[in-house]
Amino acid sequence: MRRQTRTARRKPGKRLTVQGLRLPPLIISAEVSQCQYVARCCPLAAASGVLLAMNLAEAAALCPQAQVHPWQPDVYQSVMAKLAQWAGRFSPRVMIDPTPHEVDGGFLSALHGLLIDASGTEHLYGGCRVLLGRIQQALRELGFYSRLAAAPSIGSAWALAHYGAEPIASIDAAQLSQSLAHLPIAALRLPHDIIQNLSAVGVVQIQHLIHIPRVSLLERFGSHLLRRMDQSLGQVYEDIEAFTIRPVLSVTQPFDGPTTQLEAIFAATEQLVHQLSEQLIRQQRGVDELEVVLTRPYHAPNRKKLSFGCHIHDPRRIWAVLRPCLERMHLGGGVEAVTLTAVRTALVAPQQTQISQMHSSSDDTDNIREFLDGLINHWGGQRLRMSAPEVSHIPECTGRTKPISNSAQCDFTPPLAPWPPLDRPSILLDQPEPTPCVALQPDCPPHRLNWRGGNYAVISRVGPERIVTYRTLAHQQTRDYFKLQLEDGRWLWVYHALEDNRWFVHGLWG
Amino acid sequence: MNHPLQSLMADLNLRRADDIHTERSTSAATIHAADPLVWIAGGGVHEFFSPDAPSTPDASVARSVGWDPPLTFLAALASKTAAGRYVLWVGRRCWPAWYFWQAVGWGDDHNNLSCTAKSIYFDPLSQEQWLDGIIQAARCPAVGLIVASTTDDISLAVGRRLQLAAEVRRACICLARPMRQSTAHCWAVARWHIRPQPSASGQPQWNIQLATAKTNARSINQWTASWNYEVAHGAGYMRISPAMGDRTCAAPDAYSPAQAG
Repeated sequence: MRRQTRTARRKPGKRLTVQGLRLPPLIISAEVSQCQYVARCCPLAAASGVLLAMNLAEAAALCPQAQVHPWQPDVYQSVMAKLAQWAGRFSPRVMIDPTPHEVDGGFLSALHGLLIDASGTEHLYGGCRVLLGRIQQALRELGFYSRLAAAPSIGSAWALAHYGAEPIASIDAAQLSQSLAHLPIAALRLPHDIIQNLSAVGVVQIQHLIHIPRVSLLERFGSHLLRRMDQSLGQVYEDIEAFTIRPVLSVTQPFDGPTTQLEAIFAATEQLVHQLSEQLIRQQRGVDELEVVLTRPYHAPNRKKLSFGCHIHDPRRIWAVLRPCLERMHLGGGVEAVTLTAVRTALVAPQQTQISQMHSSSDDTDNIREFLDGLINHWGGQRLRMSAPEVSHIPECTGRTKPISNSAQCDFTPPLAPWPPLDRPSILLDQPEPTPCVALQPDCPPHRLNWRGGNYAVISRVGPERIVTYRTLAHQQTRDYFKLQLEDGRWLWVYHALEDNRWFVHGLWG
Repeated sequence: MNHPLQSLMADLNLRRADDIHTERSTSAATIHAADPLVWIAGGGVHEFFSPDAPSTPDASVARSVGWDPPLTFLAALASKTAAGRYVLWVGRRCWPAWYFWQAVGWGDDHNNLSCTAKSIYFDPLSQEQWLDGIIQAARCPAVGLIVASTTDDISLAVGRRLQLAAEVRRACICLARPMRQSTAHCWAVARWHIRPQPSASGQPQWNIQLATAKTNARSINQWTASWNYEVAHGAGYMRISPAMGDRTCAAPDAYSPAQAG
């Protein structure tokens, strides 16, 4: 039987002592929008009333003796990587939990657990329970407090480890539904907004969710909720991507002495790029994230991380993105050495050599990737976006975009609607604008309307087209849409909200 | 004697100059040739001005929300001129709605794919980002058209940088701006005024005027553009014809009363 084991949590809950020394409470802080929040706290601090996502000043007032340390995601990830490597003794397939841990709107996202595929190895230890006991004992010896669960699916093991009553749980397929039924819906690894929306209508446990028709859930919350539910109940397969440690590719070029000559730094760095590229090609890998470090005397090293939309090893493309970044980096009193490190790499699938040089679509793709990489590394990934509409009859859903900042940037193809497009305005307003209207009869299109400070006569009308929208189970709106031509020739897309008898402008043909 | 449109196109180095008929007539071919959608020049900046909102008591409100770019025309233009390459939309105001974007050329698979799949949206926070995004895109050969909107004043230096970037790489940059800025100093290849006008057809309609052509200021032309949506096919297209009363396409070469009589 396939079994997934899930470990979680850190540090003993009792007062720590090291050789008789009493340690103070510990708080890890994270900065979000220039405000400090509590990202993690030890049980001692929690006993004083400190909560996750609490303002740091408030936490310090509640627990004045606490030591505060800044949140360092890189350090945390490296610790988790070491722990994953250590856990390889129990099973060859170990993965750092990729589920983001969201606190207060998701400001804190961290890897905070391990997934172990123990299928076929549990009998070596005398069963799942024994295996879990051994893992817990070994973690305790390392100084970690842990919660463990073994279940037929990753989702159910995750749910029991995080929200189960016992610190160790082991269930089989027959007990799956029953074990999960009373757990909160957060155990399904859902985003914060979906949990809030479900809680608002009284759906707080998984058993409540199971009784709601699937079609209804799909319409209101999308496919993500159903996929998570199926994964947890073992109806959809979810795999572990085994954790492996590879040697980090890094190249360094020291100078004879500190130099501020930009041309010399450029020449050395370009040479390093070619060296790194050769190593990448030899290993059939492409770089996703590259770090450049300028070592400076009397100053801290100047570090800059560059991300690439897809795995590349072409030195020309790497240099095209790296050079503008180098131009913006501060040289301080001079640079003693330049180091390039491929922080994140991935296997590159072999590609057929171009038969014809006239292969313009491939050239276009390379050019656009280079352009996007340059802009993303300069201005940030959130600024460049691509269309990510939901195929839905609700107008707001079709206006969504998503950032081009990850490996998905190579694929620009948004979903096509399964039906021909409807007559919709070229400009859809982000928020419908309330518009006082005058209609001669109830439920008729308006004859005059006030919009953006002007009062207009309506000279022609097309409609209505009825659209029923629902954002949550509790909030449903029936809208009658009209195309209205104003006296100055502009065409507006206006709707009448039947529930509250109000008019809104939702778009226009600009 | 040269046709005024033809001389204008030669001056602007327009893309489809060979499509123009040398004879002056009111034939369908001539009207098609007069379609500004097919002869927007590469290698330059085109400014498209559309009306501001009417004056409101709160001027700041009018400046921030009262203007909408002529996106219907620009989207139709993008589907025609991008030629299968990428289109960069700079500025959140000028991102076309997805359903509308799909409707542009729905019947043509190639257009449909290029319209929806080859659009990149850039949301700059400052004019520096705005300018950098446009210039970087102008340098990228995979970007067929750059459509940008701004309500800020554009200085002569910034304008010249844009124009030079477009000229060097033969890029086509379309800037959507509010009408109140149409009196500012002109550094673009051409300026267009797009105003909505009442129609009896049940479809949106605009008056398009080539207000300024940098190299041939005498050639002022007007067109009437209407957005047509075919319910049966679920497709939309822009129909453009010379404006009523515009005789630049219709007048004979050397008309004289004696010949007529």
